[in-house]
Amino acid sequence: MNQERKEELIVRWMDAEQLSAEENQQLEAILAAEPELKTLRNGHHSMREELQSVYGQPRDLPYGDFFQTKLEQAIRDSELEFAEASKASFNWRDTLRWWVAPVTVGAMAIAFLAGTRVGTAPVEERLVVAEAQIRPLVYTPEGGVTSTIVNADAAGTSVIVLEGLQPIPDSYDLMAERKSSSDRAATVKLLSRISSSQIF
Amino acid sequence: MKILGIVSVWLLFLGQVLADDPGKESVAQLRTVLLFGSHHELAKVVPEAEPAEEGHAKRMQLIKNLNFTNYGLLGSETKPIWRSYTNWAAPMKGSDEIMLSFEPNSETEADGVKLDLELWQGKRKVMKTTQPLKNNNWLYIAGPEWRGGRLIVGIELLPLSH
Repeated sequence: MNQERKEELIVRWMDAEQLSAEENQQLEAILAAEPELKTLRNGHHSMREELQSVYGQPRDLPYGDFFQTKLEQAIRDSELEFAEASKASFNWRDTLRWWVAPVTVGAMAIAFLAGTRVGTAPVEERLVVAEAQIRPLVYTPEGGVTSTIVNADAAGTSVIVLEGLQPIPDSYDLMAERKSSSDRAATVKLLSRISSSQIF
Repeated sequence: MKILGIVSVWLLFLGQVLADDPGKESVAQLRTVLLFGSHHELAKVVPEAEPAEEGHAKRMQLIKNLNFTNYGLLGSETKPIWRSYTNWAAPMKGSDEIMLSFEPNSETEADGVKLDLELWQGKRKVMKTTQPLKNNNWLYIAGPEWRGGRLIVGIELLPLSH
């Protein structure tokens, strides 16, 4: 016997239902294995008797059919009212849907024209580019050399003063190379003159 | 034969056009002078130096600590400013002791140009700067000391029409 069948028999036995001969045999086997069930059944019966003594025997509601009919009628009436209201609202919106779109477009056009006529003339935006007065930077790769930029006068003269440069030795004759260059140029001129005279 | 000659001339002309480099186009000129400022008599310190124009001395009077008594002109040179190439100025003829390299930093404007400038002393770069130069305005770079005075490089931007 499976567990469900066993529980069913126990419940029906506790409720004092009429059992068949086969069911009674099965129940006796169960009670033989679990004798405490009889004690539980006695407790269940005594509790039921006590409850019935307090609340009395269960009785049917008076005029049950009348109230049942009234409830069903009320439900049908409410459903009918809801259907009629939905139909009415659907018709109103359905009518509105056809002329809302052109009216909206017209209103937007009127608002646009009113904005262009009534509003102030648009101010032309001008991109103002502030000329950044970036001070020129001077980079001196050699260590110990510093620089200072001076704007000398209103004529636009500027001076970069470099301090810390390696001095040129006094013995170094800058003009010597100029003279030698001039000498070389004079020599070239003389040679070219000689060659020219030889040609002609 | 005649057609072949015409085609050859056109090919030569086309090659010449393609060979022209717009970066080598001259956008302005740069006059560079090498001045020597000293409180001593130039004739004793650098006898070969010519007296510099008075304008240099007047402009230098406005600079504190650079107001020398005498200014001599050691050399002068005018070189084109190429559109996108570096050019060199060596105002002292025959000497590379003081040299200046210059190249436009941006588009040339009607009244001036912004130049990348580098000052070289004895084949060493001692200064690098970007300076906006206006036409006919002077920029001076006070360089190394020499014989009790100072070498000063003067730069003047000259427009092409100069």
